[in-house]
Amino acid sequence: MIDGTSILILEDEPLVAFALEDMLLDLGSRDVRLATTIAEAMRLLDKYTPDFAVLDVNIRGERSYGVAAELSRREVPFVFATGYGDAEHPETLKAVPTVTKPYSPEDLKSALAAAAGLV
Amino acid sequence: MFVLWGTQRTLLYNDAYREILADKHPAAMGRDFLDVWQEIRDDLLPFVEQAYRGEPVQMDDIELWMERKGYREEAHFAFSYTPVRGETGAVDGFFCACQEITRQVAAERLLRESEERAKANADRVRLALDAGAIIGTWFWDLPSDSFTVDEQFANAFGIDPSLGRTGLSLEQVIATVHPDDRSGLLAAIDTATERGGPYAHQYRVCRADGQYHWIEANGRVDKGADGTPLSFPGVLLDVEERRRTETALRASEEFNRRVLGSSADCIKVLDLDGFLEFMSDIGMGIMEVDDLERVRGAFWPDFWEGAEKAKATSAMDEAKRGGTGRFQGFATTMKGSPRWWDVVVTPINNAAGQPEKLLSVSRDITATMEAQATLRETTRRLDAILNNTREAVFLMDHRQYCVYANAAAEKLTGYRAEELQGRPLHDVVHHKRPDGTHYPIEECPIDRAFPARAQMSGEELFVARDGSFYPVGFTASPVLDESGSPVGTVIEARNIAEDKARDNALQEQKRTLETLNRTGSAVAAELDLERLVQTVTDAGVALTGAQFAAFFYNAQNDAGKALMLYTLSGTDRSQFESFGMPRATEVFRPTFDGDKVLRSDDILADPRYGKNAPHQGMPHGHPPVRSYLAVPVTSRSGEVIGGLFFGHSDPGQFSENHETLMLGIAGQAAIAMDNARLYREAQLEIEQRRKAEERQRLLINELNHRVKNTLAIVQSLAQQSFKRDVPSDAARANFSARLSALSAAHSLLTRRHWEKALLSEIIFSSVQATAGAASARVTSEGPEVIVSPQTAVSIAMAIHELSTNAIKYGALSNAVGSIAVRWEVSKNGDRPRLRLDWKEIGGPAVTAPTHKGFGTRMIEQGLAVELQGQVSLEFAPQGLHCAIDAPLPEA
Repeated sequence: MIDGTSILILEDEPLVAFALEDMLLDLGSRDVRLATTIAEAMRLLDKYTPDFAVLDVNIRGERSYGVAAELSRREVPFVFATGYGDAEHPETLKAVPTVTKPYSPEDLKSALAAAAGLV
Repeated sequence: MFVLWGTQRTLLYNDAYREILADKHPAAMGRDFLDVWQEIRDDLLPFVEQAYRGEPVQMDDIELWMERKGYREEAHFAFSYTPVRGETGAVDGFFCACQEITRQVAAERLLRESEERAKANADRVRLALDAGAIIGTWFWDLPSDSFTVDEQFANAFGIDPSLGRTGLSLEQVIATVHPDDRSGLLAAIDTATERGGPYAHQYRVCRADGQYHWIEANGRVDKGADGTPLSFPGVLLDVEERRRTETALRASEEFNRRVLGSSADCIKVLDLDGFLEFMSDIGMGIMEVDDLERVRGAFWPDFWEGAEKAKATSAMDEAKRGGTGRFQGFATTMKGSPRWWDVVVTPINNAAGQPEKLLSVSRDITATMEAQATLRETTRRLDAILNNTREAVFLMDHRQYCVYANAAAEKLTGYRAEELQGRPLHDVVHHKRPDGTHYPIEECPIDRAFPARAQMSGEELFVARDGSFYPVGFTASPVLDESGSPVGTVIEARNIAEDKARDNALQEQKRTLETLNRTGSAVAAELDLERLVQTVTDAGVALTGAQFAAFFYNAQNDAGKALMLYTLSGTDRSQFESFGMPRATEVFRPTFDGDKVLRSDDILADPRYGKNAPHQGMPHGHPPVRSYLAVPVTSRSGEVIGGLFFGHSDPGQFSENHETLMLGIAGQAAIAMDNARLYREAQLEIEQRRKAEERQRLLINELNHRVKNTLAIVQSLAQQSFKRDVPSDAARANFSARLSALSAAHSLLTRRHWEKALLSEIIFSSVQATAGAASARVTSEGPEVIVSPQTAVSIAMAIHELSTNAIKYGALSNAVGSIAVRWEVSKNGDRPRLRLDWKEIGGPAVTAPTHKGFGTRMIEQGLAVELQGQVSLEFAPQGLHCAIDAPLPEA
């Protein structure tokens, strides 16, 4: 499923982003692009539409829901990754699969599969 | 004859005296003479005593009323008493020779009377003849029934006079007698002839002229020795005139009787001594006398009692003097019915004009008296009501003139009734309005009742005698006659000044209570201290009428520092800003000490006032205060919370009542302030607890996040460290070192409460954790830059990788190399920028690595990403140079 896909990562913690990047590449992704700010993510989305996306919810004190909305609009499957166990998403994003840090590659893979099933 | 013997006057008598004693014999024998003649004892005693004294008594005729045959009878005696002396010469008794001469005396008396009568008759006849009353004589020889009459007789009887001389029979004589009188005449003649003696009879006889005349025949029947009537002589008297007079008299009497009968009064005739002789029939009815005989002869004044009797006597005396006695009095009727009488007593004069009898006319005025009494009682009651009621009552006539004013009206207006009467009441007490203008009667609601024919009521102001005004409540009611037309007005009025004052006092009290209540509930519900004291101060002003009020109170600021605040009422706060807080001067001390209330009618006159510098009284610009009232506000714990101060520019404005009220207000204020303080403290504590809990929740949340984030970082470190191409020993060592670096960064951040960190500290700490003693060869220099925890971790990890590289391959891999870390902040452009240089020197010659590992990735990508800037690694042969150019991180 992930083989040969392009995936956008929005994660402001570089160390965590590296791990995620590696994890996705290991899972077969062909193109993983990292944005550490919401603005950067939106800039990237101006240029292309990824096959999947993994969004950290809390980006330097801001929520990544704007990016999520854009992805939804483009029908890009995506998952939330968060350190907050009790994160409450807005109503329209309630169904988005969420992985809680730290997560395993399997967690991520099944979450992405679930997200793809939604679209 | 008889003898009286001894002191017992023992009677001894002979047979002759038995006849005198009659029924008293034989019991009289031997008894006391005077007892025997008990009924004439008083007549006999003087003679008996005279005889016993020894003096003879001789009496030719004594008249004694004896009772010797069962009845009293007149008796006459001739007697002599001859004393008989005993041996001692004392009189032992006496001898009486007596003869009863009663018959002789009676015969003599008859004779004398007969002689007197004969003489009177002779006189009468002589007088009658002289007067020409005798109009004829007759002689009737009864045995022969032959009348001889004189000429006058014949004329009177209408008979031929010649026949009169020769003799006429009775039948002839009475032929001319009026047929109605004839039988009566014959009967009278029969009676006279049978009985004998005098005869008199009146009848009518027809004269020659054919007219009947009344005559009286007076005659005498003389009888012979054997009782045979022999002659009947007589004379005729002309009684026509007498009859006429008598008829007239009878008519007059009838008239009088009718007059008496028609009079509703009780008419009585009294003799001059006041004894009743006559009472009219109607009078008897009024007096409830059944039988005149029962009151005839009664003494008229005895009909009256007490004072009335004196009035009756006095009236009678007046009449006897020829005047008219008059009085009104009370007396009961014969049957005891109570009656009032109006009595007039006048004399009835005789022909000579002298009072002969008295006429008493009594009129029953009971009904009148009762009506008068009722009227008096009604009037008295009305007066009692009108003069005892506290309501002023005026009666006005149709012109609205006052015709009556009761005592209360006099008291209300200050005018006597006479002064009010005869003019419109309005002109006296209601002519002026309080502003001095004229009050026209046409506009007066009191005077509207009359024309409006309706009761009016309301309140008006009356003018007193001295020109002052007083409020009255009035009701004016028209007085209507039978046809419903108004004929006057009754005005009731009452001074309502006291009512008004009482109402005002009540209103005032009500307002006070309402203010108290309102204040009580307001302050009880008020937990905001400032609003609370303002409410209390405003209430104080409302209750005392103060012009200025201040409430100085102790409070704590947020920092817990005690300070005195104040609130004002009735004056502008700006006026107070320049004054210092009141100090414990002599005037203020009792209040701030919580001692007592200080009330002064004039604070300027208070000896405690004005003793203190710098103002020596009130500061310049202070509102002018004369009346002063200060009440301490003391908490339940006894602590003085503050003081309420009230001022007024006029002296004597605050009463004891105000003082009491303000003590109550102060008490309420103290409780409310205690409550407010407790509430505030409780609120603070609750808020603090809430914040603590929120902080804790955030902390736990943050901790959770941080732990998970850290775990994610550790996971990443592990993932980066344990690559397939890295030997496991080296990987473990790298991983361990990286964990240490991360831990050191966390330690630093923990010391800084994960809030912020100094760039210098991060660099130092990370170098030290990685290089240990070699870190002494690392110098760092730069201005103070504060960074966020996340940035701090990235920097720490990047520095760790640089340090590790330096230890393995760079300046710290030998003994002499050193590293200089320098940074600066430039401020050109919109945002300050951070420029940091990591320069190694003195280490082995540097060659660029063929494989880029985690370190390079962390520095070149991770840090750059984190700082949003550029990070370059220059593997210069003399030493590694890492340059960072990024916007100054936000803390």
